[in-house]
Amino acid sequence: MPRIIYEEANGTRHEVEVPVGTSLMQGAVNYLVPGIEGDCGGLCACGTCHVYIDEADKTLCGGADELEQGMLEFAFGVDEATSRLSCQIEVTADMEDLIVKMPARQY
Amino acid sequence: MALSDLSATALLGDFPEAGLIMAPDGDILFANPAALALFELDEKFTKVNITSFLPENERTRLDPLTWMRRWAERPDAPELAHVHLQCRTTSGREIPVRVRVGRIRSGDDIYYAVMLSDVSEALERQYKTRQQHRLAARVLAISADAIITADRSLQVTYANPSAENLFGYPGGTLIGRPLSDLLPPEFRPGHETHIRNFEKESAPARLMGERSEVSGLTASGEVIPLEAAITKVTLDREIVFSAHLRDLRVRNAQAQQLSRTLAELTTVFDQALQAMALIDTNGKVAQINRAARALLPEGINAVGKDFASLPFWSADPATTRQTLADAMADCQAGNLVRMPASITLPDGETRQLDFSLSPIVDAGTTFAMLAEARTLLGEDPLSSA
Repeated sequence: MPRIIYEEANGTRHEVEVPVGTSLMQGAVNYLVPGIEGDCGGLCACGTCHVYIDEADKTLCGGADELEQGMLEFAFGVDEATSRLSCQIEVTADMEDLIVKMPARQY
Repeated sequence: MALSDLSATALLGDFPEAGLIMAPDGDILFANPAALALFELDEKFTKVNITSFLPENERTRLDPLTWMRRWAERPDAPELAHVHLQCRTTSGREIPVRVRVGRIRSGDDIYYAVMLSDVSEALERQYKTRQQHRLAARVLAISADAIITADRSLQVTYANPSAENLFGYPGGTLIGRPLSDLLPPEFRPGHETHIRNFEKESAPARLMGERSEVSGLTASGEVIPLEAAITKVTLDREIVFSAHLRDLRVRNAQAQQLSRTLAELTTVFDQALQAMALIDTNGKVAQINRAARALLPEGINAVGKDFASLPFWSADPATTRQTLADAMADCQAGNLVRMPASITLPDGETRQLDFSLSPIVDAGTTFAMLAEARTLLGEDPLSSA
């Protein structure tokens, strides 16, 4: 079970073991990590699980598809290079110590 | 054929929600009174595009026309239940609005009917509810007690981190498991009966202490002693059971250690050749050992009696009482008191004793005293000490 490091906008870190196959959003919500809402429950329909993934980790997480890119338009503080919706990233065994940064707010 | 003001008014005029008719390029052709009020628009407005009501900040990535066209084509789009647009009124006030869009065909022309509702109050309520929920959830999350909820079918629906650690199921892997996985097999049938009985009872909770120790089973197969409190609540007609569990391993180990230490000390006290008694702060005997009991006439139980009134003191009762009262006061102040004393045995023999009183202190307070006596042989060791 890889350990994911969720980092709040103020730098606070939450280290959580997330089961392989669940989403980065679900991992955060299960452990009440502040900063990720996940209003729509993972349907890619709300943009409230917006996170930043370092460009170096893009190979682990893949890229945003058209629907996700569309929903990112509703998110706050979007960065073209690193913004993702965490409900669309499935946790894999290779993600040990992946750093997931969160924006100052969702919406 | 253009959409006339008359038909637009007929369509949207009486709606309490803000309603607009918009051309495909976003130009607003008609606004009902509620929309004029929402955007603070003059009713004689001309050439106003809907994009001018979107704030020019970090949200400029949003292309409202694309989204409105999508929503007109897909009125059931899932995001419509969750997202809102941030609108800026003519005076610069920003208002979150939920949007519904419908396409209107008029001959070869296409228009969009846009219904907008101000959701600032709803969002505020949602925010407050969310904060309350978050607070409650955080209290559960940091609880040292393991907390597990289960539905009517006795499947786990929630487990806090303490529960995950206690039973060894990390990362939400307890959720969906049958509650019986957390019990040693021999307790499973009885547990189910117990829960079903509890379900029928009127009491909403059985608290810790009302139940005896129960056993749990960890993922690694270890059977652990637990103290449990169970509650039930009904949410939307569905019963939810919750169990608050406390790991008794440390407490049981401490209790065993304490019990052994007590047995050791009791043996040392009772089997000592020196006469000893524990005296409480009121001067009454709490315990007396075998050697001290031998100094008393047969059949006398000293426990609970005034130490000064025991029948072996040689001096007269008033003097004994005064001497011991002074010694006990000194001892209770934290001092070791040592003095010669004389006792008379049941057979009439008198013995000179080296008598001492030691304070027994806990957290800076003397809560008892240890009285000890040794027979003085030959020279008085006190005088040479």
